[in-house]
Amino acid sequence: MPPRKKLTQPTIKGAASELAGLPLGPGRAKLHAETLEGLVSEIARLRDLPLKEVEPAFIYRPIEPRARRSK
Amino acid sequence: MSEITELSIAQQAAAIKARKISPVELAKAYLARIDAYNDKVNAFVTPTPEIALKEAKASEAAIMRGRWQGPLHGIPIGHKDLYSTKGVRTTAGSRLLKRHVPKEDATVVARYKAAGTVLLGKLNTHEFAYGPTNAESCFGPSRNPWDLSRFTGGSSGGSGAAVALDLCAGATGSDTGGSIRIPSSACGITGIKPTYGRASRAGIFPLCWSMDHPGPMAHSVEDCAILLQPIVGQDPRDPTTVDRPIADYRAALRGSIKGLRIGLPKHYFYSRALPAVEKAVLKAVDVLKSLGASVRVVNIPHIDHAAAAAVTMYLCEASAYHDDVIGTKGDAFTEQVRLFVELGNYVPAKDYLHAQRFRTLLGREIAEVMETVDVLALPTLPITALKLGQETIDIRGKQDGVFGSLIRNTEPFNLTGLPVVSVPCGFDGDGMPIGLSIAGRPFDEARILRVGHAYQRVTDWHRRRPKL
Repeated sequence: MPPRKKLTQPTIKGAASELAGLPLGPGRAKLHAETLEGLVSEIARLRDLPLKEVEPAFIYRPIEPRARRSK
Repeated sequence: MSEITELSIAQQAAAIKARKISPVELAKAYLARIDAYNDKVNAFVTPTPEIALKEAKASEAAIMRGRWQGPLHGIPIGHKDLYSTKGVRTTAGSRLLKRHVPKEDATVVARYKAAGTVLLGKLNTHEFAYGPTNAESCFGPSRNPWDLSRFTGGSSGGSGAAVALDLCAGATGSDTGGSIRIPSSACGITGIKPTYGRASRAGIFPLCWSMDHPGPMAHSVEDCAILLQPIVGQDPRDPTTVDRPIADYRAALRGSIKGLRIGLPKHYFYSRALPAVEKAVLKAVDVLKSLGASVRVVNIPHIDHAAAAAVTMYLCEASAYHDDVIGTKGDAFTEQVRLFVELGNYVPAKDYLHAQRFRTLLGREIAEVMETVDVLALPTLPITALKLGQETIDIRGKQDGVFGSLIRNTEPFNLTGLPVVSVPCGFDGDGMPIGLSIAGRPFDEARILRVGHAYQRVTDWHRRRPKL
């Protein structure tokens, strides 16, 4: 996988308005980009772990219909 | 200081059962302390004196009729303001919920009611439990009773301060990245995060569904054992709760720890700890050794990635939970919580799934370690309580962020769901408490409680009280 590029304010602004539906003002986009860069660079390291044969840690429990109340 | 508030829950229960003290007398003693000291620490955000006296009178009447219900009957406690309390304001520390009055109790609250506890009020929390300091709350920060200029730790900061200062006999907390253990350590009290699935999350505002754990906080392990008992077990309102055998936790405290095998995960858990913290924790481990335990260093290969996985979980799950309001009422959140909620919008779904896969990997690696040892011993926090507002700290010549440092040692056990008890084990040079964590195998709360109790039988850190 090619290395991730550094987050920019236009990317954040686009993702906020076009994907998340939460448009941002310029000041807020700067804050998001700066704060997120450090977090995302750590999060992206998870992609390099030996996880190929590892399933995610959640199990879906099929939901039974409620028992009919007796009158 | 009123003497009966200095007694442990175990002692109070024995005195109530023997009719040497009355629940009304006990409730009044705590209410007097809340009146005298709560303004200094900002622990109770909604005191409920009328309810307390009403419940205490009912307890007293029942006991006089010979209907003593057990060791929590007539014991005054507080609930973190994240727990729904029927008819009592529940805010989650947020302006968004400042007038929210639930119509139903959280399962844990209902179970404590059924056990006969007396409700003194609701306790301060970091807004929606989304932070480890309790600095961000619509009521203002809770303050550490050992030094009022410092944070209590969070998110269950009100619970930590209230128990430490004997404003209640015990309290509930909730723990998503360490929120029971962090304030327990920072305020010099004991707290247990049981195994994920052991106690019901129903009726508690979620931060991160897959990592939220309810649990009790008190001065001693024995008191935590008493408080844990009624809240464990399956709950139809929470599908993650499981039907597993439940020990008699107080009875399990008896017996020695001779032959116990302790693992020290030196890499990661000790490597970024302040020297004073490491020294106190290793001294505590020596105490356990003197009681017959053996100690060996263990290694968890991919532990360094725990923080990245945990932050992925918080960002994604919390943002999903608050998605209906963040766009329209973002201004109502405190700035830090708002920012964290908004940042969850940018994490790719594949990274959330990588984090979930990492949880499986980490769980396997710790299980492998747990085949060779019975418990892990580690510093609850790498640091102690710092000044409110401090954002970084020098640890061994490197600056660490305070938020990251506070959750570093606790969040691996939220990712893996393992049970952990934190006990006080000393003080740093500034007189701030230090905590030792004992982590165990899934659903083996009885063993970690026994280890903690063995430690508290021969030490007195849990009996120390802050002087205001």
